[in-house]
Amino acid sequence: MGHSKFGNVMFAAGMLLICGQAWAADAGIAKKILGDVRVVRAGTSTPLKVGDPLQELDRIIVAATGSAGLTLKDETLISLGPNSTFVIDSFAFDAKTNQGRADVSIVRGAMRYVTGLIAKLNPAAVSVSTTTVVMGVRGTEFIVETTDEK
Amino acid sequence: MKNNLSRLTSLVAVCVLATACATPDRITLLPQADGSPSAVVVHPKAGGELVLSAPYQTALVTSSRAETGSTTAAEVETRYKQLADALPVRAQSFLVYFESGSNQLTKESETQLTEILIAVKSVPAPELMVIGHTDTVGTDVVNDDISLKRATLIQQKLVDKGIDPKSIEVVGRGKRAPLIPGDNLDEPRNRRVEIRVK
Repeated sequence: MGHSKFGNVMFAAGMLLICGQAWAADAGIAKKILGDVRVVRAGTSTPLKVGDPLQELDRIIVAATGSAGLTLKDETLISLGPNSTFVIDSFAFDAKTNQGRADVSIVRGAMRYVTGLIAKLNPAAVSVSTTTVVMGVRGTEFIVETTDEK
Repeated sequence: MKNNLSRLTSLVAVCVLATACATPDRITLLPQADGSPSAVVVHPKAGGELVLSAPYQTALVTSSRAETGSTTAAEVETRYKQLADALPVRAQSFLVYFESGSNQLTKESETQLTEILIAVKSVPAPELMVIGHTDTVGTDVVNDDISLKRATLIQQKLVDKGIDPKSIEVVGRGKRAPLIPGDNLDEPRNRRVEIRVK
């Protein structure tokens, strides 16, 4: 009886570990931060600092005097200019197969984007959106500038 | 003249009323760092498709209009200087090889480890991806295992040299990415570990 209870606890702990890891799998990292840059995660806004991990569904908000440089796990490079709002809509990357998915949005402001390893193997698994366009890539470096005054 | 002015006035009025004159999204294709061709395919949500396939081509898109145009390197440099400054550096790649049939690195590879340390110090919040590769002899299962063991060995060497273990990720890619292609090839140049510093 006691043994089985212990087993249950271990099982629960194991599930928590597995689920916890799946939930918290990092999508990337903040590399360069200038001025006021914040990350909104699960409704809470905190300052983003160099070295901080980024996760799926994070919203990055760059103030009028700021800029930010981010990398995603597949070596995608991103920079955000002043007055920008950027969202990691979905991200998954398997370093063994280089398969995955990377969908990001620039809601406001300007972004420079250099595709990473996912796009190299499967360009269709990568997209960049604004409120008016969706972009597909073919091994690309480009800039997107947008405004939320539609 | 008066006619033109009144037309302009009515145009402004239309713009104020309609969203058609909203500031367009501006997409600019940049050249690839290695000079290879590239493209971006722009799908306006209103429909249609624009393909930018030459460096400095642009697309201007509003909710009702989409058109291509072009810009110059100089214009991009001034308009988007902050973006260029904030862009993280590209990953640097290092290759190390083992002496045949051993866990001993070649002499050149030991030198590479020192260069990796210098690279790590030069980037903010450095991350290392240690990627093991095998030749193309044998099954995926066996090669995945061998490549992971090789990568783990290098990871240990990097930690011994003072690199933060938390900044290192290890992966075995087996025979998925041979440098010298060809199946069932006993090729020493494929038996390598790549260290990518970003």
